[in-house]
Amino acid sequence: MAAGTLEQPFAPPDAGAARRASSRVEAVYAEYFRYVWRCLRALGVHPHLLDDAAHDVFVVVQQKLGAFDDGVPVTTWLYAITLRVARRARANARRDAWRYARTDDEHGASPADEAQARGNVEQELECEEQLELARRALDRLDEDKREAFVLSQVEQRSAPEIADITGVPLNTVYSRIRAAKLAFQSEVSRLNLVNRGKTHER
Amino acid sequence: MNGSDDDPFTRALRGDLPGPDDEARVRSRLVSAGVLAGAVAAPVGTAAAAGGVTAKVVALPLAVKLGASLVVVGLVTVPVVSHLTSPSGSSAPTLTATLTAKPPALAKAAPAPVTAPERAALVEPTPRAEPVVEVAAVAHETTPPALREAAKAPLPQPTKPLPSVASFEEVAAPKPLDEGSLRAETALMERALSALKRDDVATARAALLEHARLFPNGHLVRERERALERTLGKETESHAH
Repeated sequence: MAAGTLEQPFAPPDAGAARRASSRVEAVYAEYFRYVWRCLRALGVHPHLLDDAAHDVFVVVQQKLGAFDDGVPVTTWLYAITLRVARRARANARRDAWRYARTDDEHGASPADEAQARGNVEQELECEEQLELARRALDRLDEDKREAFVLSQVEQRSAPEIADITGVPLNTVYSRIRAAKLAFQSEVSRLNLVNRGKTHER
Repeated sequence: MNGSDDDPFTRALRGDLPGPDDEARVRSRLVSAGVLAGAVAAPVGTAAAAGGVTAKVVALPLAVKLGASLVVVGLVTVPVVSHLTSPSGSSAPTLTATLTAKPPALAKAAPAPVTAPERAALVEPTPRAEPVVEVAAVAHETTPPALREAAKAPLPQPTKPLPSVASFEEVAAPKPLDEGSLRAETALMERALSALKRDDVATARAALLEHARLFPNGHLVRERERALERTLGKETESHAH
């Protein structure tokens, strides 16, 4: 399903259809909430806006479910909604940047503190550090590359599916994915070097 | 590192899934918005727990709420009405007993229990104490010992008898008008004032002193004093020049 169909006006269904739609929303939520949340977070939605964004995604799902084309995979449809909600949330965060000023501990407790709380497991500490570094590297990518990287590498969508989700030509998707991988790699390498330099300074 | 499936950073991003708290929080919001049906998941945190209790109270049927409020109103109003309508001597113990027997829920919620003497003091009317006794007690605490001893000593008796009420009336009563003396006073004052008009300070002063000597408590004492002030003022002016 192309992204443009999401903008069609919503027609309220009858009572029986509403019950069926509600149960379908429930099923979609139960199966895909975790991936929607992960995708929103990877797409750069501010942690303070994550609840609102996830809520908005499923409100749109409920509204558009009546017009949903069963021939299209639900994941494609869902990621298309998630992508647009994430764009709006990022725009809101940019508009209210003074309110959501980025700090080092914006994701809650630092990875070191969280790992300490779990019994100082070295492996978990390493995972948390990697996650924090990956988030920082994603923050350095521009929006197009970030979306392409998240959908292809994190959510593991195929290039044609990403083309459907984003409404971008397939060749452009391929080139964006390739560029996004390179950019992410270079950012991770750079941040690694910076972290090592800080560690040696201490 | 090449961004492939073996990339630990990409795997870390892939494993960044929400916890059950996150899912329950969003689910409760969606249920509130009518997007999802069914019961809200167990609330997280104490604030949410308090909200849950409130929601349960709100969700009670109207009949149950009305019944509960009637019971509470009855507990409060019946003893008070009986206290107001019956003689005070017979109803006071009833009121005290009713207030003492609190419902179990209220007894648990009470922050600090009131002792029996305090409750009796609050409920039963007490006779008003004599204010003199209280003031005397306060004065005893705050007055220095020397003053306290002086206060105990007997008051000195007056050496001369105090003037009676009749003598006060005599002093305060206006004098009967004596036309002869008034005329003489007026003549002296006219002479003094006409001398002042001519700036003859010496003649004016002599006339005023004469008036003061002859009529120290006369009818024109105030006029004499004003004229005397003017005379002194003119004398000062003449000395200055």
